[in-house]
Amino acid sequence: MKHALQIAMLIASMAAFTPAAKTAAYSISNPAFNVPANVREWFRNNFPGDGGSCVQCSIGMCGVDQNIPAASTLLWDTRYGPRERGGSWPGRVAKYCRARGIKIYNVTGKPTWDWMRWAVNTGRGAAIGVGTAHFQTLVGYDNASAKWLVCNNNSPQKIDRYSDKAFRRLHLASGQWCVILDAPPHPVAPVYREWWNTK
Amino acid sequence: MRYIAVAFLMVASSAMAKTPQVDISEVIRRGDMVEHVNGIAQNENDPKNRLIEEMAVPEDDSGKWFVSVVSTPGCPHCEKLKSDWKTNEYLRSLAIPGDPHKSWAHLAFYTKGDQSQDWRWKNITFRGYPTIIVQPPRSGEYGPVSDIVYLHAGYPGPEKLTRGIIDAIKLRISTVTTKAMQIRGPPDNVVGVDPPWDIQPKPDRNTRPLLPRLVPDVPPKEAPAPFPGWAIPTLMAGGPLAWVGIAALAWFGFTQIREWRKRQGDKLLINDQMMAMLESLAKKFDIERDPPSPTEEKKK
Repeated sequence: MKHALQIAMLIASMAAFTPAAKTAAYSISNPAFNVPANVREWFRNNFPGDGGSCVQCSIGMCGVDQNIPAASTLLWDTRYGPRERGGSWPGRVAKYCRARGIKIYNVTGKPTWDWMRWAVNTGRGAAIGVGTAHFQTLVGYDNASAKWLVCNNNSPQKIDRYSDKAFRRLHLASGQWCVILDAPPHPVAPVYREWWNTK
Repeated sequence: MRYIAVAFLMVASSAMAKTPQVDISEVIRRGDMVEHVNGIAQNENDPKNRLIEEMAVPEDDSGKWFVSVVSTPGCPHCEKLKSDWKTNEYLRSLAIPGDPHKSWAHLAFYTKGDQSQDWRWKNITFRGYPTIIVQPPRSGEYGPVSDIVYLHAGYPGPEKLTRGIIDAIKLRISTVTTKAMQIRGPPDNVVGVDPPWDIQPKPDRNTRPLLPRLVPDVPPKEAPAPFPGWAIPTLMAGGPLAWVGIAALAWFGFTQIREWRKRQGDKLLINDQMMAMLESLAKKFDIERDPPSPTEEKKK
């Protein structure tokens, strides 16, 4: 019984640092970011020995979404450059993006709110601060339920949904910073349909 | 002892969770700032280059159509299309590679077999490369974004491809005009009661041209070479001049085939510079063969 109590206390202490989120299936028809779960899994923030790389995981996911290989391969050694792992800050992101030829908007402070809305409205994902000293990927905004959709690179299989209030609190907790790739958004997966046949 | 161990584990787990992955101090130091990194190495000592403040968000480009080009490695037609897109005025009227802000449409090049992108094509059967796919804008004003408005396997040449895409877009627009008008609002040239001040132009999404401005951007077409009618009687007359007639007809045939291949975007046997030189030679020969009559000279 004592052991069970100890384990429960340990789990509770770890859970205290995970932001609460309601997780639900991806319901909006045209999200800004729609990389499938198996591809998102490549960007799980789990690179033993290199420390947390949440900023690069988030930018990497956006790189896949917008088909920018120099960004999607950030975490690995490729012809686009050496791997970039470990903790990050705006200056470091700007430096490695210049070195790799990645065009970005590196936004700090109050403007992040307008930029995040612009990103999701125009079909772009964004690497954003969500939770204390943590970066995640902004997936979209569901107008119907007024929820922000976010993919945490610690649990990339799921999409978390936050109310405006919760999202605001989490983004403020991270320090207002977001990175958006300066590149066209992606088209959604095309589908054959006889749209010209209106009858 | 156990409690001490548990307490130690709790502290350790807390410390692990707090390992800074994001340096918030720099975020705070920067304050309200938008740095536009344009992907080019700059002199970082120059503060003007290092920090460019652009607080306003870019224009809403959700009204742009999507043009996707899917190619395979080692496909010569794919490479030809990519290189044409950099220079050809027809293709550049749709989108300018590397300059999405000035492009009329969102252009993206994909490589089939790229595992990070292949999930996009789960609903598509590829019958040839390059495959060009056009989809409606994200704004939804022209119907579902997933619809394939235009799909073409192979490269038919820049003009034919551009015109094909525009024709398909026109057809699509004609089928969803009512809905589009509801979203786009009334046209700009509404006549009636004017407000007492000069109103600002509407946001870009509504003022963006419905179709790319193709005609003013294309280079003027060269006048077709005139048919050398004189060559036939010369040929019929026989004698040593018959060879001149044969040469003139052959030259005419060659220029016609070259012109056709140029329109198709095919590789040319003689480049434009060499062709211009040959044409000037041919003209010189033409003038020497048939000098203008004195009456024509007077008219001039």
